[in-house]
Amino acid sequence: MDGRRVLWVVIVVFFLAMALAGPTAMVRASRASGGQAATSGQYGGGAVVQMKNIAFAPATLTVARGTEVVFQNLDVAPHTVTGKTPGGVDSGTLNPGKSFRLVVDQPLDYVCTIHPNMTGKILLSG
Amino acid sequence: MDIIGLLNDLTGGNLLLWKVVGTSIVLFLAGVQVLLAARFWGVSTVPSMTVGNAARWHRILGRATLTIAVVVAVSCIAGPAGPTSPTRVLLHSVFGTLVFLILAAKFALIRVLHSGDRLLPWIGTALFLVFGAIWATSVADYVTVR
Repeated sequence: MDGRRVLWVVIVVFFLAMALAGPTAMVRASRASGGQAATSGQYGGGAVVQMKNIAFAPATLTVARGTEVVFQNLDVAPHTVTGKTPGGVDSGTLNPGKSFRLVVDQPLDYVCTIHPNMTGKILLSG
Repeated sequence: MDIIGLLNDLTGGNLLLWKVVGTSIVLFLAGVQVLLAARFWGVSTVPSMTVGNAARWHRILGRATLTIAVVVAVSCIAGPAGPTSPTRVLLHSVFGTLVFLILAAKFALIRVLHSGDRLLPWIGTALFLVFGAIWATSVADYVTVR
């Protein structure tokens, strides 16, 4: 087999690997979401902000000081929870299915740095 | 390494927008590829260029199209790939898988086995349609959300 044909065989194998990657990710996500469901009840005492359809929901959340807020990425795109104040809160990249926990002790204005139109706010009650 | 974080940094925090642009360019080029192929297969006089030039541009644009498509696909697979709900997302993953299966079949036929030339018009048309479906299940939704 000449070198050029070997190169094309490699390219064909690469395309097959790319084709398999999607279904593999689906299976992995399916297993991961099964695991998350088992622990979601532990958030009962806290508050949850969901990331869906390129938006935080609720966009404005009011909680008591010291409440643990769980940010859940239920979207199909990666997001971040990043405080608008430099050097403040930063979750890093949260891929779909991932969560980020934050104990809130002060009001927070935050944004997804991947999608700057996606903003949220946490206010303190009382 | 966090590929999505890296790509997001490289795109100045606008990864999703760049994916939208990339997917749209791929669909446009896939349409041009069909026209060029029709020209050098002798079933169309559009675009007005020689058959040889049409074939050469088909190869050049094909490589550019595949490069962009692979980069966009990697940014999908490394990041958001996995959810099967809503249906739009599931279909997007299915079409993404399909496009690479068709590409693998195409190059296996024409570059490795050196056969199946008669299937090429069907393969090319299928690729264009699947790229269209990928665009419809991603970019269209992005535009709607905006």
